[in-house]
Amino acid sequence: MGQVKKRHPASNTYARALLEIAEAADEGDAFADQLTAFATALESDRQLRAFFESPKIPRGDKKSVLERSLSGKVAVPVLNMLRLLIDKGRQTLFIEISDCFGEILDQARGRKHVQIASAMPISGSARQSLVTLLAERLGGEIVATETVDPTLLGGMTVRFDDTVIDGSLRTKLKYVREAMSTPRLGRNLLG
Amino acid sequence: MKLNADEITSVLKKEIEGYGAALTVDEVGTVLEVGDGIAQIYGITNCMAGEMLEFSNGAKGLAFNLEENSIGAVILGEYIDLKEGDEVKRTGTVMQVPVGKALLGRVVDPLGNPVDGKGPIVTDTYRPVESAAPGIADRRSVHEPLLTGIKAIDSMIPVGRGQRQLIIGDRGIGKTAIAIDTIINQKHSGVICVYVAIGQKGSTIAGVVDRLTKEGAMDYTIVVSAPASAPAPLQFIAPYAGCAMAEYFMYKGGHTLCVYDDLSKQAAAYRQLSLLLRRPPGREAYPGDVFYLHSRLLERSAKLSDDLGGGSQTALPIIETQEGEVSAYIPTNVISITDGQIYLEPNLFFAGQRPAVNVGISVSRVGGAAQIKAMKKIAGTLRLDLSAFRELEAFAQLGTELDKATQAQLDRGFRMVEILKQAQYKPMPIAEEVIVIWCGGGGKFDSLPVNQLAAFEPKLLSHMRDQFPEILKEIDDTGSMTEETEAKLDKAVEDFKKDYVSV
Repeated sequence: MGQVKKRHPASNTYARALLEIAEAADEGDAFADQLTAFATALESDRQLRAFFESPKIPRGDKKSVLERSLSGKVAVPVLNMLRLLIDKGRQTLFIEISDCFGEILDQARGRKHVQIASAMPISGSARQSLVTLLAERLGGEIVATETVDPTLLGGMTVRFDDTVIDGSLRTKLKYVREAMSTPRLGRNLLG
Repeated sequence: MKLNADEITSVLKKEIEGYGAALTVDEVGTVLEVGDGIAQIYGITNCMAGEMLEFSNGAKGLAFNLEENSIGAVILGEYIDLKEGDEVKRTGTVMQVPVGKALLGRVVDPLGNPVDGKGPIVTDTYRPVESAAPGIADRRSVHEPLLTGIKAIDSMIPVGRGQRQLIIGDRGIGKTAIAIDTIINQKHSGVICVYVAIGQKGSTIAGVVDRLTKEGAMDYTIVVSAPASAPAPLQFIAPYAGCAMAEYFMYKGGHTLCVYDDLSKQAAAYRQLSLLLRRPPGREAYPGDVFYLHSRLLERSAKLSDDLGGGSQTALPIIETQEGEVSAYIPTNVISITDGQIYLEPNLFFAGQRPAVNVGISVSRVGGAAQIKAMKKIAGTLRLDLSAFRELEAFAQLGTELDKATQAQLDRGFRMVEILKQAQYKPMPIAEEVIVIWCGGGGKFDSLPVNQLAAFEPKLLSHMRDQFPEILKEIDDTGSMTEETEAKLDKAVEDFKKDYVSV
C-alpha cells in the first residue's frame, strides 16, 4: 500500500466526471490504463513533470506539446481533461485523479485490491488457493499484490481496505510476550 | 517451597499453545500527520467517536473528530516516534482504567499504570473512563456530612456526602491544603479518597504523596498523577479516570471523595487539544464545549438512592483564579455547576488568617442538610457574630470611642476570627470543633486576650479529652447536646479557665 496522502476534494470530482464519460463509451478500463500510463510517466520523469506542472511555461505551450505527443495515443476525453486541467491550473492534481479513477472503477467492477505480505515467497498453488478463498469470502475479483517481508518471521498478513488479517509469527510472539508480562488474578505458577 | 522446572515448562507450554491458533483480524488506518499530541488518521472508516485506537509504537489514542476523509485523534502517550504512514489499529472498545481495592495506596497515571515503583496493579475489574452520570431516580438528596476537619468549613460551609464543593482562589493561598486536610480527616470515616493532580509540578505531587503517606492517609487514597510534563491528552483525561476509580466504590455502596486539583489546568489542556484539532475557539479561546467538559465530570458525583446501595461521591474541584478574578470564563462555569464554593482570599492569607476562607462570600447550597444538630445550632450564632463584626471592623480601625455594646461585639468578633484559624495537617474531630465554637459563641473566650487563644484552645481540648470524654462521646454519638450536657460543658470550661495559667 502506497503512502496515503490527504487528497484534494476536486480530484474525486474530476475522476467521477471522467468515469461517467468512460462508462458511457464503455471504455473504463482503457481510460484507466491511459491515465495510469501518463501518471507513471509523470512520476518517473522529473523533467516531464516539471514541464507539466511549472507555472512558468505558458499554458498554450503545454497544451500544444501534449496534443502533438498524445493525440491518437489516448482517447479524446482523456486528452480533453488534460487540457482542462491546464486551463484551470489544476495539473498538480493529475496523479491523484488517476488514482481516484482507478479506485472508483474498481469499486464499480467489484474488484478488490489485496496486499499479501509473507515471510517467504508464496508458491504458485498456495497462492492460487489463497486467492480463491479470498474471492469466495470477499466476493468479486481479487487483484493481489505480493510482498516479501522477512520481519514477519513466519506466516503472512492479508490486507484489504481497512482490514488486516494477521497470521504472522511476529504478531503471535508479541501477544505471547504481552500475555506473559501482564499480571493476572487467580493464576499462579506455583499453583 | 521447591520449584520444579518441569512444572514451569508445562504451564508455559500451555500458555503458548493457547496463542498458537488464532488469527487476528484488525481494522487499520494510516497516520496522515502527527504532532503536539494529536494525529490525523486516514482509513478506519468504521471508527466510532471516543473509541480507543492503538498506534504502531504501542501508544493509545482516542478518536475525537470524525471527519469526512480523516479522523482526528489524541495520542495518550509518546508521539515523538510516530510518523506519517504508521499504522493505527481500532480496538473496538472505549477507554477504560483498572479499578478496585488493588489501587488503594497507589499512585497511577491517568491510564491506570502505576508510577510509584511498587510493582504491577493486579486487578481484573475495569471501568470506562467516560460514563453517564446517575439519573434523577438513582439519586437522593445529600443528608450525611463529609467532615473536612476544618472549623471554618464544617461550621459555616458544611459539605455533605455527594456534594460538589468548589475550592477557589489565587495561587499559593492554601487551596490544596484544604483538600489534603480533608483527605487526612477521612482516616476513620471509611471514605475512600481519590486525589487527581492535573498539570502540577512533579515535586508538588511527590510532596503531597509523601505527606499523605506520613499521615497514614494513603491506605484509603488513590493518587492519579498527570503532572505538567504529561502530554495534554493525559491531563485532559485524568479527572475522568479518577472519577471512574471512585465510581467503582460508589456503586458498591461505599462513600468516596474526589479532589480535582485543578480543573483550570485541565481546561487549558483541553483548549490545547481542541485548537490543535482545529475546533473553533470561543471565549478566552476555550472551545464551545468547555462547560460540558466540567459539567459531565461533576454530574457524576452523586448521593445514590438506598436501592442502589446509598453510596456517594463527593467532589472537591479546585479552580485557580488570576488576581481574584472569579468572573473569568472557567471560574464562572464551575461556580454555576457546583453546589457551593469555598472562597480563599490572599488578603486574609497574608494577614495570618489561615485557612484563608472568606466565610462571607463562601456558600454551601446543600451541606446544611447534612450538618449535625449540635453544629447547626451554634453555627448560626457564629455566622451572625462574624457578619456583625465585619460591619463594625472599619470603625475599630478609626480608633474612635465606642459604646460598650459595640466594643463587646468587636471583641467577640476578634475572638471568633481567631478560633477559626487552624494549622495545616491538623484536622479536628467534629466534637472538638463543636466545643471550640460553642465556647466562642457563648462568650467563654471573651475574658481571655486574643493573642492567647491559639495556645489556650489545644489545652482546653486536651483537658476535655482527659477529664470529660463523655461530652465528646455524646456529641459524636448523638450529634447533639442536651441541656444537661451544655451545663456540664459550661462548668468544665469555666473551671478550666480559672485554673489556666498562661505561659
